[in-house]
Amino acid sequence: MNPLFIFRVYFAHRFFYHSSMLKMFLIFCLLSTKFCFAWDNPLAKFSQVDIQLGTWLERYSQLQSTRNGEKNGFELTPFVSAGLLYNMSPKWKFRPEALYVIRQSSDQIDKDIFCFQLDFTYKFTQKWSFILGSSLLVQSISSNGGEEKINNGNTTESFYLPNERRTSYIQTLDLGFEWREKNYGAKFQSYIYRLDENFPQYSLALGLLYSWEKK
Amino acid sequence: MKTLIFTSIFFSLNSFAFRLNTNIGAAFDNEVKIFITSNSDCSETGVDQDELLDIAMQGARDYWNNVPSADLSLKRGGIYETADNLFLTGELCVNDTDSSCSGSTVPLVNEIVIACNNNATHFSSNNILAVSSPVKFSGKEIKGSIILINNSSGTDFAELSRDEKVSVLAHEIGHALGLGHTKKDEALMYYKTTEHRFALSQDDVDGITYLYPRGAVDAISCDGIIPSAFGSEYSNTRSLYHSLLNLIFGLIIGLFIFKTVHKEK
Repeated sequence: MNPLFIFRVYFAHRFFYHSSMLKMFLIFCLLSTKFCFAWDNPLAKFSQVDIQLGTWLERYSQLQSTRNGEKNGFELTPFVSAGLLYNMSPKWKFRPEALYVIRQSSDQIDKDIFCFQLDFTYKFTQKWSFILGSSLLVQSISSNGGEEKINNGNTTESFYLPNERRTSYIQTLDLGFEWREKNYGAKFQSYIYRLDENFPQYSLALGLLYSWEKK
Repeated sequence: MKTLIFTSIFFSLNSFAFRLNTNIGAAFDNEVKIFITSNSDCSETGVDQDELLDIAMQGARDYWNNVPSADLSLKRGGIYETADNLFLTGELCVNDTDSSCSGSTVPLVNEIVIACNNNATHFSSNNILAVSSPVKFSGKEIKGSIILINNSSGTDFAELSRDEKVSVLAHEIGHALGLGHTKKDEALMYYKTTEHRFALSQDDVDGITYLYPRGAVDAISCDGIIPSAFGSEYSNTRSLYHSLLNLIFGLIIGLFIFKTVHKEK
């Protein structure tokens, strides 16, 4: 084994120690090298393509949804996603995936959510796999501006709509399970924003998969 | 028809209608301190000065510091030393370029300053618990906000439970940060308080995320995962997260090395 390779990996690990997304990017780059796999262009060597339809459960059961104190529950907020699967070993697969939550519009405000995932799946039975990885969640909110009179104490007051698009980026830790039967499957995935013991924060995605195997 | 009804029941109820205090979407820098004026005796509110600041900080911690998509850190500032009685009796000036701000109005401040106030214009009724607004701007940036708590004789604020006081202060901090009222009655930023408040609504989360979006650099450096506002109190959790990511990274690197060695053999 080439000692230079080990040195490069070690150096890269230290260099990116405090930047986990860059770390994930580094993994992606390593996966793309012919050094580890018997191919020259791994982007053309994926084993499978997935598409997924499902519902996005944002901050499931952590937000207040009624005045009486009820938490937000199951709602259908549709998303679509597409991903590629690379065989790393008989049990491990690398799975870059892009997810888009269909635009949510309400009261003149639009919200778009994109999720760029770098996940790994471990097949622990013939049909079930465990998912582990990290994602970059991109949330964009926009409106065209404007003014509205809303109750304020015993009178009304003018308040304002957003007048531009603003985008927020969140890195998540991904954990989930996947079930597959031939070309079909189902996936349950959590996107953990924060690990605080007092305020665990996450979103969930429940989806149905269809996949094409590369021949 | 059955399908239609089923769909209408379960289709997304997510809704957001947040509104802003200013037409330019003004917001503070991402780190803001909260103070209480030294001359606030708060005698009518049922809590003393220190406790009121504790309540405000609990509101900041339980609600606003707790939004992963927002780059916002509210910190305890302490006592704002002043002998100016206008904090206790004056009217709030909501625009620092307005000439009416001079004279008998509450002085302009930096950061967020709380005062117990009994101005009759603001607190014409005991059921008006508090008023607040940004008061000092620099372009799109809010430099200072004032929160006035109703300290008039017989104020309803004194009758609230501690949890309700926390949510009232959290609501006022929301205004101080640049949010307006919303029409969604489940939201913290709805104009009326509720005794069943336990968390922000989706509307509040989207509003504060819009005003204080977390940048890509913050996201990739993991700051979003563990709230920096909590400092060392949560350092174990931060370490846990780093450890998990490093574990993933280590596993992958190990797998590469294993595969490489295996291939060379």
